[in-house]
Amino acid sequence: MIDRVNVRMYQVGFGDCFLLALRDQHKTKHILIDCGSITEGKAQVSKVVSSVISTCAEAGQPPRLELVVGTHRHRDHVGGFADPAWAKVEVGEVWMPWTEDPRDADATMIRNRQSSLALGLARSMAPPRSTDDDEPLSVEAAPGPRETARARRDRAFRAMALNALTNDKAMTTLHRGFAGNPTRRFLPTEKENYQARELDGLDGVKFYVLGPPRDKSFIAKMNPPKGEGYLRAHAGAQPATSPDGEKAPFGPRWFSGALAGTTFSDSDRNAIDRFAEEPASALAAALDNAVNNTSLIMMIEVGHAWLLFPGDAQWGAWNAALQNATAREMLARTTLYKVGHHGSHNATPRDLIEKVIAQPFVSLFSTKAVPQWPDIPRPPLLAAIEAKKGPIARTDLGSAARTAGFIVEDELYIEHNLQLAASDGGQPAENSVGRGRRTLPRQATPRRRSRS
Amino acid sequence: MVSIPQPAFRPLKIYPTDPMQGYIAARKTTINIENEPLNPGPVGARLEVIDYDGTAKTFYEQVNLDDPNILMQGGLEPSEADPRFHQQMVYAVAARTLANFDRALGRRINLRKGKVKTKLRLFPHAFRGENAFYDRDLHAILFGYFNADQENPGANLPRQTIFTCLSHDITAHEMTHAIVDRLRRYFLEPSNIDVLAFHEGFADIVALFQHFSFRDLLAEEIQRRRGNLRQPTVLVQLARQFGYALGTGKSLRSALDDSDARLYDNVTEPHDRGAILVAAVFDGFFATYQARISDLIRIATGGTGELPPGDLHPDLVNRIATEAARTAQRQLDMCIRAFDYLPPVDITFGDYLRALVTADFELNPEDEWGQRAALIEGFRRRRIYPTGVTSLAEESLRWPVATEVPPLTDRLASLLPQLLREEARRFSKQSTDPTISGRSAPRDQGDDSDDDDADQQTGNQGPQIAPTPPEAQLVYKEMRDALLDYARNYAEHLFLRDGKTVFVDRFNAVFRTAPSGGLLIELVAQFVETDHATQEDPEWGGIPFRGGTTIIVGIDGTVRYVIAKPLSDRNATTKKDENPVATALELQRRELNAAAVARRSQQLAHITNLDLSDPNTPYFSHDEYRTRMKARMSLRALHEGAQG
Repeated sequence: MIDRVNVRMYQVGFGDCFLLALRDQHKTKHILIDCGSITEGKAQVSKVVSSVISTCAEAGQPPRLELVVGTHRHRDHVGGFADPAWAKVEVGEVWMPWTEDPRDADATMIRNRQSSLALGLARSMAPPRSTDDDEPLSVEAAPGPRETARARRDRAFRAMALNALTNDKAMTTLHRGFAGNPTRRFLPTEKENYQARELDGLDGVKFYVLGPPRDKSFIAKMNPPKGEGYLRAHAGAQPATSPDGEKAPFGPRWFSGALAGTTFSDSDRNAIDRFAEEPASALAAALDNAVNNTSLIMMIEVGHAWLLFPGDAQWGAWNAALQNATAREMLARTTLYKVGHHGSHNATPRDLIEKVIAQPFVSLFSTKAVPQWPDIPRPPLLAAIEAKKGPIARTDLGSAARTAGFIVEDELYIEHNLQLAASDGGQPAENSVGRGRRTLPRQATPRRRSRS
Repeated sequence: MVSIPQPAFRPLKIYPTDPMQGYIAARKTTINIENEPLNPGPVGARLEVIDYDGTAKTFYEQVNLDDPNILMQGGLEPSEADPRFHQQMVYAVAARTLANFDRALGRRINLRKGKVKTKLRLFPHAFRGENAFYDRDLHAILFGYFNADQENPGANLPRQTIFTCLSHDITAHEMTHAIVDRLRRYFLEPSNIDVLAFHEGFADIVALFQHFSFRDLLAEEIQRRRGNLRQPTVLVQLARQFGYALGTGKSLRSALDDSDARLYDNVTEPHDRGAILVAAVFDGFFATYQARISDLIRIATGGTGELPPGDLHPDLVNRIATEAARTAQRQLDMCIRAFDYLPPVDITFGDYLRALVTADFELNPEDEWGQRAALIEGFRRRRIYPTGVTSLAEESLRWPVATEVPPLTDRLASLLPQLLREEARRFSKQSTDPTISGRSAPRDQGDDSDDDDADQQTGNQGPQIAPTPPEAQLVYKEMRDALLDYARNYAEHLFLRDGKTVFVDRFNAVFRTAPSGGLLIELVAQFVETDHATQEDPEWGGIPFRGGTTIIVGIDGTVRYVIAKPLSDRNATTKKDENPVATALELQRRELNAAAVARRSQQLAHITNLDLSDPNTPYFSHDEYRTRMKARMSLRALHEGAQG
């Protein structure tokens, strides 16, 4: 019987990497949920990867993960899987959202649409890049003269588009990589109706998949707009042209000067030029939203603990789950919540915090302040979660994040330890929050561990 | 020398349906446009076609429709390859749409926006891109062009250049957006779920009904469909070419392809929601049309009503086409006329139904064609119910007649005839005799109050632009002042919260001819006030909570209707205590105040919903957050989304 669960949130800036260690009397087993970042450089990500790998290796044994979950194909969630070190890690099963299923026609359509838009966007927005490892948000500002507001904004949109790029290497690891020939599952299955899943070797742990929905109306929410007009107009640095390379739809013999005596002014002309040139930045955001909506939403039940990992699911996917009585009831039991989408506006329903979950719960914010997106994490959401009086951990606060109930390893991770009862229905012990604040240790400074 | 009478109309050729290759050879038709002197462009009194391409950064050769070579052939022949035909067609369709509004509203629509942008500008080839939209700031309609889908072009050639300006439907749709925005500036502010949907749906209604004025096309379709216009024909499909070219496999939006579409709360996308309004209006139209032609069918079939196999008799087709065209025109007039009976802010589909019924009742109380009843039934079928009415009976749908509102003050009453004279001058048919018409004053000047939105919050009208003649300008100014005084003095009767912040948004005299031949002349004025606290609050996103009242005044100076959407009144309860025996007016005020409180929270809830479904929300900067609702007014973004 599992008596202890450690939930470790790695420091990956604007990204996610969660390692769950489930311990029984004999052994500790590991589950990895996501691994990626869009703000941290390659060095930090590989430091995290090697920490994950060394943590899941028992002395004298090859490293092993019982389960790897890739919630959705955004770089800030899967980018770390591009690391070649994963090849020697033995994995039991790999779970991905059903939209990753290579044999599913709808899934293929959604993926193709998403990646072709991402490709087009990235191509049209990205300036020549020095190396592939640069994240547009990893540098504070380009060297040289002070960056204009516009350039900064464009950099943020570029990051958004790059985030959705296919991430080929990383997705190859998830689909075909790892040692031990793991089983791949694409969830939820057609017939899955929020029932419990179990995993060989993890007795007493139940998994419930609450999303992404499979119905047709929801598929539309995973489909980004085609945006071809925009892409055609902006592919490369070239101005828009027809397939024959002509800019204008009429030959030069039709060209003429301005008409005299009209109301058409120079400022009007500039406005029209802007309409013709300015990227509809909405497209990048729409794509981002579409990919986020493919997030695998997972609830893990172990002992009395209910751990909720929603990826970056957006309002549409949440809404579908909240409308379903079974799923809603399950959500109500949450004792630990991985805050959706780094604490953004649309990724945590107000109802979930204010109405559905009655008890205090542990909240984990894996996030980082990005100047272009001042509303992440969103202050009203933070306030609502604080009002629940549960322990909160945030990776964006650095060493200021020392809250009761967490173990902090500076610049590497923040960990929450759950002591589970030895038998069903037993009282939870130290460090758990399932039964209210009373049981929380009130230590002022957390226990420190030596650096590994 | 005896002069030649000026022709009333200028014939111009257009593509009535989108010029697709391969399906049926591109059709063409000639429509008659009000004859006005045109400069190259064409540039007329209210419309200006400017062929500037922002992608290629060039102007194109512009057509001179007064060139004798063009006049002699009744306008340029349709051609996709000649930009001058494009300019002609955009002008012709825009002018036709404008004329429909002029006639139905009984006045000459003013398309002037401030000192410089004195005309609505049309850019037939503004940019390369799959979009066309009306832009308020630019006071222009921008049409894009693009290449058809390579894999899935429908009936187009793969990679063929598609010009959105060659679509009658797109031009009429965008033109309607522009006109509606001139009539009701707050109808682009998404203060509830219906507002933008109304803009979209109404624009489709106008585009669709205009199809029925293309006589040849109509007759051909009736022959092909054997009288049943309900099947998905060219007539009821919008913008064929555009939809197919995008690879979506069907026309952009079809009003009627879903007979089960109902107005539920979960239909939120403005085009989807608007399509339900279109369907409701068309359900009404088809019911009337069927009733109108049933006698013809009986006569033609000796009473059986069963049409024999084979082609219909051309005379029968002709008579059916006449009925269809007349019914469509009357329905379109009804739909447009309702505008004067709408509150100035925060429209809902239910308001529109009430305005439709009231406006039509005023002009045509008998409803001998049963058209009004059929329309109400259409709305009922689509689940569009107004709030605050006890039943869908016509009497309860009509706005309540004002009873206790004081008549216009002496000053207003004496100004009214002058205003009427001025507006009548603009609206009247001009003499075709050049010796007479040469003496009349230019018509396209009028009240120029809507220069910019900046000054209106204080009730100050901003700089007045010199309309000619100067005495007319004075009439408008005095009229505005007098209306403002009236509103301030009788704020309570007009359900305005207080007289201080109210301003006169628009006022017009209207002249309408009833089917019975009678003339109906009215003054319509709109008052608007704004809750300033909500203007500053970032949570409201830049679109404040507004209230407003439309009044309809008869020619004798009595106020016939007060159509109010007031601001919520914080002191409402105290007032109730002072007045234990409530008058009818007091009761109405309480009811409206309750509605206002609900409206306010609805607007906030709507903002929350838009935030949740907007992919941009997480990534807003603080400034973008503060102005996010304003940004959502953009038809550019709205139309881009529709093609996803």
